[in-house]
Amino acid sequence: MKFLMNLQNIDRRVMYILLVVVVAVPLYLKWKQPIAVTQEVKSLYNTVEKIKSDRAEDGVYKVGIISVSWGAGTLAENRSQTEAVARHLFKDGIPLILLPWDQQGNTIATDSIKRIAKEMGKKYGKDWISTGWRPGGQMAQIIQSMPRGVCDALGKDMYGTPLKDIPMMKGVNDCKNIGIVFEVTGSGTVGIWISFLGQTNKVPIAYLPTAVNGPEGYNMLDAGQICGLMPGLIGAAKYETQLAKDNPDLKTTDTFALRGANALSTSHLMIIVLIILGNIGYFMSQHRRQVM
Amino acid sequence: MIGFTNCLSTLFVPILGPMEYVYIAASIVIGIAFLFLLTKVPNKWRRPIIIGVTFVAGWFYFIEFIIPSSSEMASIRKETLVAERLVRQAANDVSVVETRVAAQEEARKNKKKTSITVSPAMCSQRTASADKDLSAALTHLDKIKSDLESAKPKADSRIESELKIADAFARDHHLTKDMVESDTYNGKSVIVNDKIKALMKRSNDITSANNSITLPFPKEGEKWEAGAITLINSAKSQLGNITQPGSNLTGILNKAADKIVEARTSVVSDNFLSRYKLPLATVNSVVGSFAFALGLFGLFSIHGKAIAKRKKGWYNSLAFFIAIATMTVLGFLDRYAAPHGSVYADFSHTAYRIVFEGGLTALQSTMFSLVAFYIVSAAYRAFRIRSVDAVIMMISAFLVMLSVVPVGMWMTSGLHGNLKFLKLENIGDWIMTLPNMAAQRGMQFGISVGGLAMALRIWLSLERGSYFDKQL
Repeated sequence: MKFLMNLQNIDRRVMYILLVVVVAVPLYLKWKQPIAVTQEVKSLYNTVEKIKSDRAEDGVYKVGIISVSWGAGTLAENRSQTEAVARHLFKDGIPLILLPWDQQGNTIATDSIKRIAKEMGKKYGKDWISTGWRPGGQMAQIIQSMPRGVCDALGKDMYGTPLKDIPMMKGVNDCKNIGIVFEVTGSGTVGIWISFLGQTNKVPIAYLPTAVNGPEGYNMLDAGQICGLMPGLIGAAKYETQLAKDNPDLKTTDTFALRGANALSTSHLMIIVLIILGNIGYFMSQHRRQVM
Repeated sequence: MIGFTNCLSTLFVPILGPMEYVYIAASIVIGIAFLFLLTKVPNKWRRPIIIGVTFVAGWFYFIEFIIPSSSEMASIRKETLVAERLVRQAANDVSVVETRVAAQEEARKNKKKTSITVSPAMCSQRTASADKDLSAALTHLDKIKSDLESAKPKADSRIESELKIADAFARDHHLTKDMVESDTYNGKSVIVNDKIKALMKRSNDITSANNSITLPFPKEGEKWEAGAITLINSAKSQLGNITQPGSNLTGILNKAADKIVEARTSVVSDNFLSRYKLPLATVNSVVGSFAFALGLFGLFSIHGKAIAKRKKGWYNSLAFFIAIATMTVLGFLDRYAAPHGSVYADFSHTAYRIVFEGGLTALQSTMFSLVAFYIVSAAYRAFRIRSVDAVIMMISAFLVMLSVVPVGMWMTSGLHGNLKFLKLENIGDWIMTLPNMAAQRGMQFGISVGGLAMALRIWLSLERGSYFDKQL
């Protein structure tokens, strides 16, 4: 009885050690679990696929913009999301513009894209570019200027070359040439894209938030303001699962997102078990109080 | 009004060469003088002055929004909105029939029975409705076409006069055509270049909008698309065939609607205030930079005093100075100090990466990862079933938590057929897309209305604490 009652007072240091173990161990195990691709992620995936089919049909040159509004704090989730969509764009041959609004995110995302580009044999200037860091405070103004000319609004790339002089950007004039914008973010910045580009110029906006911001995205998805939603690390894992299913030759079966999904499984289970144990202890102590 | 507009224009004319620095210095002096004078103004006048400035600044975008643009442009925007809505309605009607026909065809191919029916009455009702909408849309598009045609000469004449101003500006600053095109003169000619390009684009936009509406069918082998009027006419002529398998009128009509949107976004609806929107946004950024400098000054002042007076924890203030100096020096060294490829460049780049990634980035990741430990501890201690509400919340929390992780999907992976809806991912999806969405919408409405009320209070200076808690 006393043992059961003590379950509501587990030492937090024990919980911390348990958490370290259940998060760290699955990251190093090759443990395959089923991942169901849900509608919001599938919708995003289909939008990217549609850019490819539309281009084949009408010949309009289109690029994908990955907006990096995240830093080191949300790296575990947002970097995986960035990598997942970058792989997809590279696979479909859709040129990629990396547009970082955060100094830390700039360095981290650029390194990630460089690595993936190398893996997939893609070249800077031809298949992808990065604009380098742009101050987050000027986000609205820069996005507002895009309909009047993408190259003029973004100015130069990270090496100081005017965008209009980069081969990849030769066919990019205005919003008609933006196939999709991925807003990868740890905060609520997607509204700026929706207001100034999505709703006014009908550019598809995809929302890739951290898991904790994910529930806010369902309203926008339902209202048609965004074309898809990839919430958190698990969203990235679902996206990569779909990508691997359609493209078995791509190296997406052992990514951080998929290993992280296992860690999410074990840590969520641990929290559920701890809550149940805490409640058992609580009931036992209530029961004893009533008996006494 | 013209004199006032010209006066405003003079303020926003780009200043080049050494005079640019004189203007920057003068702006700073004027700013300081304004603040100084404000402290000398009697108390009863300070408040109205600041409220007046804030009030006028706040009203600018509102007035710019409500003042109509030229009658043709305003009409084009209005007509395109109506035409787009009508075409989307027609696409929706057509889609209902086409989806049902496609489902029937699919079932017939797979030799399966289907409960989907396509009744002739429903088809004729939907077709008639779509036909009516498309006819109305064509009327609106004809109006847009005539508006675009009459807007073109006016736009061209305005552009011509503004180009003359840009040319005069380039001449006064000894900018030749070659210099403008090659972005020379320390990059400042970009300003002129951009101005000319923006003006030229305005004329091209009207042509482009006109093409979006009226362009005829492409010739064989050409890639460009048909305009909205042509697409709608084509769709109207095929309305009788929507019960035929493989019909894709929905696609054609959606494309026509996209073309109308394209036309709307191409034309600029300007009034006399519109041209100051971007310069004012720049002013906003500059004021923001001053706030940054002010913050830095405040930090230096507080930590400087703490060190000078050897206050408790003064060594933390010292750490602040060391950190800010190190980051600033290494940042500048990395960017400007050494030529690319030299030993110094490698050293400064490596040093910067060590401090930025090894220090700042790692520290921020660590700070955030601590939240995970806090969440586990808080969930364990706070989640006690003390009421019915708590039971409902805990059950839905468990379902959502399990539905988003692979182990939850694995738990119910054996459910098929009629029990498929009990799969955890489906239950989680239902919770997120219905109850969660309803709750989120309610909260967002509440937050927005609250935010609006708060903004109005600050704007009208009813929220005293925002500006005048203490005397200036």
